[in-house]
Amino acid sequence: MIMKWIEDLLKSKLSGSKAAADSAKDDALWNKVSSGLSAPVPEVARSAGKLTGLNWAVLGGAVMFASVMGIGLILDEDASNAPGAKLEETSIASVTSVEALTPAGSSTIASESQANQADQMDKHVSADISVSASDIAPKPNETAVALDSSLPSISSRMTTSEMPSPLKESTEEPSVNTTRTDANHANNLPPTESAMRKAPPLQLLPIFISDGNVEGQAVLQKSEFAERVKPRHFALRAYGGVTMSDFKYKNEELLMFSDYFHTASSAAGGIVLDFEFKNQQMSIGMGWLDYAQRLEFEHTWQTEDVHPEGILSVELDPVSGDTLSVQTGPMLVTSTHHRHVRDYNHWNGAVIPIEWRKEWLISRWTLGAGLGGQLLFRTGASGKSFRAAGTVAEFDDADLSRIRMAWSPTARLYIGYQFQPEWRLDASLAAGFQRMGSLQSEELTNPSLAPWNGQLRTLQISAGVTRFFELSSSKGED
Amino acid sequence: MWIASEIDTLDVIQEPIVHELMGLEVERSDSSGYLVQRCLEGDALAQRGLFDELLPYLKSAVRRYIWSETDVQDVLQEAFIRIFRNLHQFDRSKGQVQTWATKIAVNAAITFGMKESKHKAMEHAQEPEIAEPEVLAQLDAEALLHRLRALPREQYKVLILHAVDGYSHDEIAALLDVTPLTSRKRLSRAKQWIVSRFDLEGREMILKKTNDHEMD
Repeated sequence: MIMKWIEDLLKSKLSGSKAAADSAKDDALWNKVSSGLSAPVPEVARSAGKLTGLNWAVLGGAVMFASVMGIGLILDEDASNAPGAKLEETSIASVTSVEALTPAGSSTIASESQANQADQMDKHVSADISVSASDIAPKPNETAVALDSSLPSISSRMTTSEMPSPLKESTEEPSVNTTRTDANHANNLPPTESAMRKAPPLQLLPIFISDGNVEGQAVLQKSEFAERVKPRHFALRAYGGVTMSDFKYKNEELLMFSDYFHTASSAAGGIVLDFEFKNQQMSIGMGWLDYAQRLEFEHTWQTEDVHPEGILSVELDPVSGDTLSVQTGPMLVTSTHHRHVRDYNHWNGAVIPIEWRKEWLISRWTLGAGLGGQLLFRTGASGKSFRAAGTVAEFDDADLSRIRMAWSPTARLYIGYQFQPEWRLDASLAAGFQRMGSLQSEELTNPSLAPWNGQLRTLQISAGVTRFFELSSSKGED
Repeated sequence: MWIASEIDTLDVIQEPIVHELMGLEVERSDSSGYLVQRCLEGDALAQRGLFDELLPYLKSAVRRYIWSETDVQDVLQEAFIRIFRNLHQFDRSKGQVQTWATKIAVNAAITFGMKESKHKAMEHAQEPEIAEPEVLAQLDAEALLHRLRALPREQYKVLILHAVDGYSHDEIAALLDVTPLTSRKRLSRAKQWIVSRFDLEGREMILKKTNDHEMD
């Protein structure tokens, strides 16, 4: 009984007791509790996890760059090892030796010119020559065998009496001798591969026959062989497309606000001159571009106020619904402000792209990679920037560095399709970065701005058209 | 394409919350239930409101077991974090949120005390010197608690858990990592200690003078 009474006494006194309030300690405790509840995700982890679209594009571009370089190197190796390269020389030489049988004045292998000589030659010869001309390409051994096999057939069809008269008397030409040598074997089996290898490589012999000179003599200009020059080309490329860019602060105190900047797109365009310099492919051009970034953030803050005559309670009649009494008194009013800001920063300027290129040709397709940069001349800028307190302030071109020039290293991948001998359609992907910063605080036009330094990461996706031009022709040709 | 916008919204909450009284008295639990509901919806202000409402009770409950004020703040912080993170588990049909929260706070205090007792010896408070007899029933909560701290620690915890916070012996056994029989024994000894320290006169007890106790 007494024990029960003790329990009841303790329960009645202690169970419902309330401790006295201590506002300072209570507020401090609430701050600890709320920070423990929020348990924010670390900024590094969050930002790391948030792989922006721009990051994915740059990553994809890097992977493509490595792939293209790898493919290109493999293609280069295959091209240098291909037997067709040597075969090409042989086949061209073979056709040229056939060409020597043609009447004077003809120095090309064009089928049309051959057809024009049909009244002086056997029609089978024309057909065989056109077949030979079409076989000029780096192909397997069958090509060389076919050409060699066609030569005896050609020679066999043409007897000495059918040969054009101007050449009847020229018996010392190596090419003709070679042909006659082949003719000796006309009825035999095609030469074996070992025989082919033993035959010395034939050289192109530009033949100059004077007009009106019936007894035109082929003049061997040995010096022309070394001086034969490959045609030089250059190209003009016009491009246009989309730019994407993202911005990050480099200031320590503003680093945390970088996550409020997101990738946005804008435009770029220009023309570029592609040329060769010391056997290296280079490009230089001029254009204009604009970079845009999206600034988006939300800000919430609270204010408190005491309203002296707030309605505390209202008593209603349950039957009639009439208001029986209204109690008023001081009331704490807590206002929560929520601001959502979305804005766009712009940076635009004239650009001089400078690039070293490496290209690989696959049929009509061109794969290319370029390394270089863009020399940028700022023409304008505007947008918003953060202060350490978390507010934003506007800036314009006058608040940025007085040095309007900037260098942006870039890497580019491109692919082209040559739909005409002189025309090619291109698509390219270029990634780069550049620094961007404001003036010092005392020089800023907007007093609420804070000085900042940052980096723009950029991506350009563009399409274009290239026109090829030939600079100079071979010295050995008329 | 580049469309800038700036949207400001404003939410205003006035406290105390206005209730329409339909000729009935609004029970306090209704406001607590409203706060719990708002907390579950992510209302930060409701969280603060629930915190303010529960704090006096939880502070009192924790102080029954933790005597250092610094430790009390730490235990309360831990308790409130547990309360808010597990608020979705609170079932209104099974009782008041205050009761549920008090249990969480008591558990946190007991756990904290057990951790501390491993590091340092928790000795019971010395019996205060009483100048003249006091009617036990007229002591306020703080004074009564102060007197009871003279109990041996383990008996004190069982007494308060059972008599004040309503824990069963099975619950006490699980909490203190003892058997229910041990819990009953400790409670019995605690009550005997009280009986030996106080005189019974009907429903009033007179606190013996310390000297009289020593003579016994």
